[in-house]
Amino acid sequence: MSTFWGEFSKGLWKEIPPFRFVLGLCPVLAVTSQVSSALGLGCGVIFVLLISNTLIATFKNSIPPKIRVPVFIVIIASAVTIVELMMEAYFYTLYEVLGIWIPLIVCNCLILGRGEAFARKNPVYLSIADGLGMGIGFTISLTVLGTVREIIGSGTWFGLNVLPSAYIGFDLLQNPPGAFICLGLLLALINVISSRLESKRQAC
Amino acid sequence: MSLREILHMVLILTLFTGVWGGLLSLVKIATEDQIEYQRIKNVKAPALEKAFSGEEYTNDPVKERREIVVGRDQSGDPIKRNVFIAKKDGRIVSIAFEGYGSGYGGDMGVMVAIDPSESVVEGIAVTTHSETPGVGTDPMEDESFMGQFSGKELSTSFGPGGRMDTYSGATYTSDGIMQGVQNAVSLYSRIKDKIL
Repeated sequence: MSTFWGEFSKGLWKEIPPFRFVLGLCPVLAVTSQVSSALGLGCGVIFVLLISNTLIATFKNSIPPKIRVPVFIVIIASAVTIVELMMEAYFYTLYEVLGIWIPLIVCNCLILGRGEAFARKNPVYLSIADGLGMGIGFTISLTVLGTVREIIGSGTWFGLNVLPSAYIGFDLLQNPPGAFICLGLLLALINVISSRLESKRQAC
Repeated sequence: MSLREILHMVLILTLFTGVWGGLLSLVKIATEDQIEYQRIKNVKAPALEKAFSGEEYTNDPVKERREIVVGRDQSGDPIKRNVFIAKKDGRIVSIAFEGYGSGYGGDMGVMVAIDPSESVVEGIAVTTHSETPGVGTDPMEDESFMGQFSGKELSTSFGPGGRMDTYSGATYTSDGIMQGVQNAVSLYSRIKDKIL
């Protein structure tokens, strides 16, 4: 059970995907101008990652290594299509906002990357832990980035006004360059925090 | 690479794509109706609400919509149109569907709500258009222009040059809206037996 927890929690801080691996950046930059769309895409990614990791780990012995990538892509693409159909049927407004970014989850290298690097070599229950952890880590990162961009960029959070109405917004953060700047600053912040933690641990 | 190995890979890949394809079609079938409902709800419902112009109803007209064949196109396929029926306590209070006319920038869709018991137009709203923003869109937002259709009997001449006033400065758009209303009203006389 401790390894299950270990695999799960590494995705939350030690290997939190967009910040540590700098993987899957397209959606990170594109959908984080609002928290709600960031959270929505994150949930889609959790679902896809969970399904793909589970199935890849389940069938890892029966998939010939030479065609493993096409098989992985089939699994991932189908899971993404399920997410897309479900979102269109039950969360239409979110579906409209995310648009092309839902089908593009297929190309998110985080998902194929976890299949290749982890699920292919590990038992099913560990792969589930890895998928959940990485997915939740990804979602948290998107939400944090979305929070910073939405609050500073337009003074709202989940569409609700959180800053005084006199605040006119900082348009740069709502646009793509702002996404890069925010991401860079957050990366720096996380590196500072973890190097502090590291030196503290060594001092002990 | 032996033939055996190749066949094995072909088999595995076919198996995976086949199983997933089947599963996806199941999901598609399961969500189809809901997706259709959501699309109509999000695209048409605001115009529908406007066209009903405050008429009270207790059902969900989008859910209880009916597809009615209104004619056949050149290749003989049926042309269908969604008819939205508003009911209050099980009694039909209003029927709404789209009529089409051509404005300045192309075809315009006009949602027209009709009160079947009194045979009058209840209200109208524009659903789709490609008119010039700030010029052609003005009549659509003008209450006295859009409101002049409300309460008129179905026998009124709604088309351009009829009994309705044109919105000055946007003649083509006004004409398009009037054509749309006229189109819907004349359609109503042909399809009302199928609805009621």
